[in-house]
Amino acid sequence: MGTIIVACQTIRHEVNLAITETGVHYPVLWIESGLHNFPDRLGQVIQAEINKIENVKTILLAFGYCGNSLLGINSSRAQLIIPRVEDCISLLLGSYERRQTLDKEVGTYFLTKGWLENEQNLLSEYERCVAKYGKDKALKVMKMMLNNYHRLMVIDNQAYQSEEIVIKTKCFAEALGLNHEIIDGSPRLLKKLLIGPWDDEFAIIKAGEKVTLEHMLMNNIVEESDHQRVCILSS
Amino acid sequence: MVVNNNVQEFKARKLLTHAMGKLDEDTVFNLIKQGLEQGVDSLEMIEEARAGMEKVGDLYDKGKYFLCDLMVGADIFTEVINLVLKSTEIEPVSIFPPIIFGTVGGDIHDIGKNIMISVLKSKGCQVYDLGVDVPEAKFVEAIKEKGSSVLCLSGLITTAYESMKKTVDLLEKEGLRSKVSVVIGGLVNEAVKKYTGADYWVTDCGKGSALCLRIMHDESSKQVIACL
Repeated sequence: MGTIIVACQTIRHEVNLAITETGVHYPVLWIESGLHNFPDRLGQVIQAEINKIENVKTILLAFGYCGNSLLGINSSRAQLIIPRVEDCISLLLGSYERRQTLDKEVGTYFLTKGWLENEQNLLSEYERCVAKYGKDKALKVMKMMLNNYHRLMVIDNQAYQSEEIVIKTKCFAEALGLNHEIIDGSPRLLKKLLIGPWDDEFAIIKAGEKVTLEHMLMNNIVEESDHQRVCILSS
Repeated sequence: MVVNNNVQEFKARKLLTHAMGKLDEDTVFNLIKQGLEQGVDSLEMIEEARAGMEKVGDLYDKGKYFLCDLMVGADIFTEVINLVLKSTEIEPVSIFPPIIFGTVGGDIHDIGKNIMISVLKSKGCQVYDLGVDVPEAKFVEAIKEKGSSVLCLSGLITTAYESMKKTVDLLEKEGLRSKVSVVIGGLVNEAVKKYTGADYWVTDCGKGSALCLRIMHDESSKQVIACL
């Protein structure tokens, strides 16, 4: 009875790097990208894939809660291990707390190569909007969408050459009047998902149990000391 | 597109709904201007435009429209309401104190909030908009100051659920809970309603505004009965 990873295609680069660095040999089931704007459908697809899995004891879900998309997810045969984060941004930054800290600094929109390749993302929507409605309208609706956002941040996990996406993201940030920054990501939480320990940063859902909102909410995560977490992040 | 000076034709053909659904901005604005000139009921026009927005939402769900189309729809719809509000005397539902509205602490998203506020205003409701990232104490302060009985909390991220819960808890602590109906909106569902302790959850501005009006009217009826 082994372990399988069910992961979002959007964070494929980062998950593969964590697998390489931890040396685990679990098979990975990739869930198609493009469903993040439709949480119910994303949940249905994840559930359908989980239902096909047999003969494993543990399913590691490399997902965040993603807009309630994990609500009700269950496996009748295996336990589910899920990082207690609202979406994959915290997974790529290394912790929920780090994401919160960055969000508190200033309204921040995060991007990675995976998001630009696989999802309906801001840049592709902007290009689509310019082509269909013209530049003025495109700028107007993008500013409406990004009202209260002041920073566009690329998360660099050293899983790919970030230079290739930064050219695009910089142009976009400039057009929208957003500050452009690149931040180092951290594989800490992804690695911890793969090798444990599965402490209060993870929801452990027993076979036959369903994911609830309470499983996933992060408010009762026990705070580690800043020093301890910083040490782990930089390791 | 010209409507031949015929209010009935305007209504019967659902021209506005159709143009809105196609995101045909010029036609939508022309129809609104003609409708206003011809005395078409302003609330009916807004309702037709809103029905068009529903079509836009359906087409988005089916993958025929994309996020940018949804945003263009929201932009046109907001303009429609502004045009109508500018040109029409909407009868205010002034007997009611304002609805307190805001995006909860830790969240900065406001498109849905702003659209719903526009719809509420178009229906004559007074709305006290506290903006985004609003701490729970501000909501409670506003409830006390304005004497409101409806509190709308908006949130589009998971972190918002905790802020919604804290706001409801603070209402309870301040002894205001039984006097205030709490409506949550955005990325919410029954599970979020239960967790936060809110009374209602909505994901649709049309239904949400109708709900707020119903709550206020129900409250008002209760008060009249109490007076008798």
